[in-house]
Amino acid sequence: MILKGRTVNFGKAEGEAIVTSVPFSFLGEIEPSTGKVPSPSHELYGQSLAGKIFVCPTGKGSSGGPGIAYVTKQHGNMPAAMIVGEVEPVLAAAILTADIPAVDKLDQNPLEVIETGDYVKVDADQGTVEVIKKSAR
Amino acid sequence: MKLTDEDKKLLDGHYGPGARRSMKLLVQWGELFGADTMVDVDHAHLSSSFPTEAVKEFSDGMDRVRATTTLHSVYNPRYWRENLGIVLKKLGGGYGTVDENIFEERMSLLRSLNILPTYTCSPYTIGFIPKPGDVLCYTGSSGTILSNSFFGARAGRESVSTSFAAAVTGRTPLMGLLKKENRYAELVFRVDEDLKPESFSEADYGALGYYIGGVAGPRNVAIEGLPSHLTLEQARMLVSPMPVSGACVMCHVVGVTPEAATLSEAVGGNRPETIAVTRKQMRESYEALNTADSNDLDMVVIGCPHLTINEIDELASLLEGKKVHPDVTLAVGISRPTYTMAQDAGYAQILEKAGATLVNSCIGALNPFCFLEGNLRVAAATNSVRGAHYMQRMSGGVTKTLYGDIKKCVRAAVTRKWEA
Repeated sequence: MILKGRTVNFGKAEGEAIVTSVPFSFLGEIEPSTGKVPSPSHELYGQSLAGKIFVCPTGKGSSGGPGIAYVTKQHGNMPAAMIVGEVEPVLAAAILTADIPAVDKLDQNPLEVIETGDYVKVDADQGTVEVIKKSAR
Repeated sequence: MKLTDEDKKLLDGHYGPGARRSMKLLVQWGELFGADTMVDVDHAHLSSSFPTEAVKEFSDGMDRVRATTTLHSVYNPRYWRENLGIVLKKLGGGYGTVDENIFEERMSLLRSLNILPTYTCSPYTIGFIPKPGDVLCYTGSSGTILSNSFFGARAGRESVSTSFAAAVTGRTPLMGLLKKENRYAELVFRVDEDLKPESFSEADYGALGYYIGGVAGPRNVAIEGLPSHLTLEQARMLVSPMPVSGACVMCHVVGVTPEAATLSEAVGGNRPETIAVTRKQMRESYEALNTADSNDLDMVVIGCPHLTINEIDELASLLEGKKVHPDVTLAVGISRPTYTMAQDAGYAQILEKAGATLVNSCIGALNPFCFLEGNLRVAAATNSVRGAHYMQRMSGGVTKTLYGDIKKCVRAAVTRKWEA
């Protein structure tokens, strides 16, 4: 399956998808030294985002997020790429500050067609996403 | 996006790799949100939590920032050790560092770029006063919403990196709340006359703002039915909770906000829904801010946002000749310039003699006492909505809060009992 969307930040990456259904903030929802989600109330609690293709609906919360994203990148623990329903200014700034490939506004809702564990190829230069379902792998 | 020749020079690396990185971030960011041009920045206000390596990368090759630039409140571990006798092993929330050397290195780097070490969330209290139409790139949501709502300046939804890049280049994309068409109210709140807003305490204003923010989410709001002679202090108690219970950073107080002399001016062409605010909503707001199980307390926090000199005067008048209970920490959030004025006026001496601790330059509600193990056993009282909200959440619900006006907080600090 190929999805088409908008470039948020340029670059290419591929890997295993990890999906959250709730808006994401880098401040408080990723631990830079591990890439894991540290908050017990989060649905991805304890799981690592490092090197994954991270799918979320949008961003939220504190203006500090881009600083945390930058530090997480320094630790080598940022997602390899992001697929977002639609970015808001703070999440967009985090993606651009950490400089990872990202797309949004796909022609199908990524939260409905991508599941955790699917293999995903993101070509943010072209704004395309290829999804290989885990059932087909 | 249409760029000027100077914008292109910044983007092409003419002024070095830092200006290029900063400008690239701003142009890409602006294009995502429909900006057609960049505009000059009148004032950038930055967080010191932007990592040192990032500061270097985004300013490499620049001798100084191009915009007038100030710094937000800081966690200053050396100041705490030397003045408060506090050494922390860690801080909550990724807001700062407990390492004195990392902190000092970053501050000296920022100063070398002519970024002013103001260390306050409230630069408008120490001389950086926005005027209508000014373009501000502010980190810190209380300053952002107050600038839009009370001063009539234009401040968008910023972040640590975009505001830093704006400081370096002196430019920011024309988008969001910088454009008039995006500033109109999308939701109207009508304060019931029965609530007698003429006699609202500052805590009542805060509770009202907390309720409104929660309903508004990211939408711009207007409020009808408040007195048109709101002071700066009342206005910020009202609006500063809105970005913490919601993500609202534009509140038209009809009759107060420069661009909202009337309701129709506030809503423009929008046809927003009107919500009546009654006793019920005020009560719910107070309940959300009062989570303590008993009326005992360990700490009282005043000054989030940092106190104005008028508020320090009031606090000193209330505390003069009294003593803070020995088992209570009364922590007061204040900027250093205001502290100096409070000393000159004699207010600081009154407060310190009474046993209050004036915590310079730090985020008022997240002062080092909050992170001191064993210091907070029962509950913290405050007249600050942001204080109550953040103390509850940054502690993972461990810290219980009591919320009420400054008179009640001062009595609680003296007696160690909250009046139910």
